[in-house]
Amino acid sequence: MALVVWLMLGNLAGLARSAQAGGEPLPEYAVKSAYLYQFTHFVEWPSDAFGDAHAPFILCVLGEDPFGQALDVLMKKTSQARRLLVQRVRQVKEAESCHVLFISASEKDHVAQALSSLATRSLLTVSDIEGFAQDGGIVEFVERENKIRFAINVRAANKAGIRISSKLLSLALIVGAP
Amino acid sequence: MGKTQRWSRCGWRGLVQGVMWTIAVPVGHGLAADAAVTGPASPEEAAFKLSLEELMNTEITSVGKKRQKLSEAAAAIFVITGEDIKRGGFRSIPEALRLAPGVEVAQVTANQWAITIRGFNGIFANKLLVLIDGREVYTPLFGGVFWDVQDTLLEDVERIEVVRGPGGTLWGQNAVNGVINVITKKAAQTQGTFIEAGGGNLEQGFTSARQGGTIGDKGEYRVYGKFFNRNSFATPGGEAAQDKWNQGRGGFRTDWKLSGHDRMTVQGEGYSGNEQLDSNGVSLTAPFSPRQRAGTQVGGGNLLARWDHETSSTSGFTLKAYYDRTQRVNAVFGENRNTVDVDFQHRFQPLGRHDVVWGAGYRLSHDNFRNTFDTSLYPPSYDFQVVSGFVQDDITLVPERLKLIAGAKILHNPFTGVEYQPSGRLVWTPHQHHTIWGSISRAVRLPTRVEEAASFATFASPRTGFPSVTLGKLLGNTELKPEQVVSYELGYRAQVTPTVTLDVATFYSLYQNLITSGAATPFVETTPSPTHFVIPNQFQNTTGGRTYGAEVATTWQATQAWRLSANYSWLMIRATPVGTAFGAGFDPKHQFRVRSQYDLPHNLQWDTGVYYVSSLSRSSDIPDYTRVDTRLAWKATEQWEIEAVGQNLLAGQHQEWKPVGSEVSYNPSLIPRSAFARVIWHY
Repeated sequence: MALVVWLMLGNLAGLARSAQAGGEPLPEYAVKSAYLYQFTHFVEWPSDAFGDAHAPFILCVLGEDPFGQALDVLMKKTSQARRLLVQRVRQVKEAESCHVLFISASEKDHVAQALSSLATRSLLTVSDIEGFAQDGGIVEFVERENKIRFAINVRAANKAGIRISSKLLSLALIVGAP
Repeated sequence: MGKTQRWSRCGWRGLVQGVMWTIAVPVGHGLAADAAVTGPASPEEAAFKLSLEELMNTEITSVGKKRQKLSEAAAAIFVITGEDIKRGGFRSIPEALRLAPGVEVAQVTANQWAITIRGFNGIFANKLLVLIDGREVYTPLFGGVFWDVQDTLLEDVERIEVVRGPGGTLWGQNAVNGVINVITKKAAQTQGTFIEAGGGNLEQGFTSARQGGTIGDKGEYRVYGKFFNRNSFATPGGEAAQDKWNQGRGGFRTDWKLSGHDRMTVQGEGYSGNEQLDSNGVSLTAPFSPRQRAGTQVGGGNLLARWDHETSSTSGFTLKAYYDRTQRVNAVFGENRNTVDVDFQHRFQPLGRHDVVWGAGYRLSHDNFRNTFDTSLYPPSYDFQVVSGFVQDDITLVPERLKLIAGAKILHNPFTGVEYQPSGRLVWTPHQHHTIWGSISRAVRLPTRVEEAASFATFASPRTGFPSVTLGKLLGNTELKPEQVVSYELGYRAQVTPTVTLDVATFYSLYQNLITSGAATPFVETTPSPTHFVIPNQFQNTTGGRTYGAEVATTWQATQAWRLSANYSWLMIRATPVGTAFGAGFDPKHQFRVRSQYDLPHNLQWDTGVYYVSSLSRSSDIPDYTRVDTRLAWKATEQWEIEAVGQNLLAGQHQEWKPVGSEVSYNPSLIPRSAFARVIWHY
């Protein structure tokens, strides 16, 4: 944990200024599912993470699914010429074939255990459990001023062999330094 | 899920808050989310069209970890969100309470309110428990609330939970008719800089500023300050009332993550203000009731620390302690009060179907009263100590369908000894969108310092013969029993369609030992001179009574941009005799509120509220009135926002309260039309 240095990025305010003012308020998990979709565009998995060039992205949800039908919309999408598949999993070991793993808040008590068993997998772990990124998760959704931002633990991403684009990093609210 | 997490942060009050939160969602904001799932114009689709940057700037319609089924709350609960306060154009906590069903809000003067829930309103209304971030703010002096000093940066209020009906088991004493629980945001939610300034015909100038940031990697903070200057109203006679006031306030909150299992919050606040007061004094010589236009100085401060330790998502404990100091001084009244309160709660699941929370608390409230001819207490200084303990078990009878919640609170106090407040609640959820609940609960209101120890002059008049003056007095009584209520409630809550929610609550409450005043034996008193003939009234447990009624609240998300909500409250009071002392019983039989929140294109918001209050029972002098407020706001950029608010546009000048009984020394004002503009800068 000591290796994870947390810093606030000074350009956040500038970002908020340049970006257009927000439109309609949207349900929390609609926004989060849209984020998951966006992440697949800005993250590079090792080539062996996919069977072939057309193998689908597999997005998994561990624990109680808070998204409802938001993820069903996701299944109609493609990203980087790959179809998106959504799987709900009950145990960490079922997450082997996943590329993105969303860990639901229902797994709060088991999250450390789950993370330690997943640390070296090429898996983009995402959660809104507080302290998730600090505890070794890669992306943590953080609520700020009634908006959803995200924190990235770069060290954890490196460990998982996942490359996160500089664009995504520059938008991250808080970044753990390598 | 939401329940346990909220509990971990807020302790046992948090537990109930958590339960409330689950209802807060369907009643409040979850609606949009559910509508989204099934509605034709799906927000999910909308969200997928947004870029990363746009997502980051999209406000979410629900906060916390929720989207729960329609709640399991076994009580009549209404949540006023921070957003509701803002969009209602409210500038104070007492005014914002107009939004909730079952709550009666009557503004008496520019700086005084009479507020209650489900009846027995008055300037000294004494049947509510009011909390701000877990700190009890009703005063043991008279059991009511000095609403003028209950404030904070409204932008930082996360929500106000309003519980109708007794809440004595979990919350504590004084929760006879309801609980009002003001909860501010965590420091993490108030990061960055916020500055607002504005003014209008009544709001003669207000400003506030807040700065939030992080402390290392373990904590967040905010510091804030605010000031307002409010103009005087008019008297029924047409002159300017003597009730203008100003107040300044500063405070901070820090939240710390001590470890994976431990969180700590430390927060504090200080305030100071000046208020003009127009009252009728008492004098043994002509003019006998001199009009006193004096200033009142108010001030105070508090410091609260709370430690939450979570051993798992279903067990943990909370330790909370605070110190609170209040001061209020004018020509006829002076009080200093220092309160220390320590609370411990522990929650665990001893068996699969039981979820137990128990706790213990201690409070010492030390007051120092400056006796004057008009108001004296004997003894003038007193240590009021209360020791309490409670246990509540949440038993799942049929998983996801039927729950029984039983508990009791026992407390010891110096005035009446040991009191107990049991309650039993049953929640049946036949379908995830329908909940039926019922409860039987008992709560007590302890006698207050004034009721125990007062010697208040109420009037003086010339008299033929010797003595040549009559002095009316209101005297305390050390033999009082606590007031008690047993309340039977039945409620139904439903997500009728994805866009419509409905909440119905009914109640029947039996009151015993209500404290009013009754005649005592007259006597002659030589000091102060001239010698006078005293006609005393003494606080007594003279009356009982019953109330019954219903509240209906509904919301309709008409379109994604347009939200309508309405509530209706019906109240009947049968209590005789009512109205000679504190808790006068002047209550509207019908109240009706409708609100519209409309998001227009170009980042404009147009919001309107209509508030109808029927004439006050037993008082033909306060006819019914309809208040109409409207607000137009424009979020010009991410940083800048401006709004214009018009209040009380339809009714114009009207009176909302007529002082009765022991309130007669207060002169009411007419509530005028008003408008203000506000500029917000957020960075």
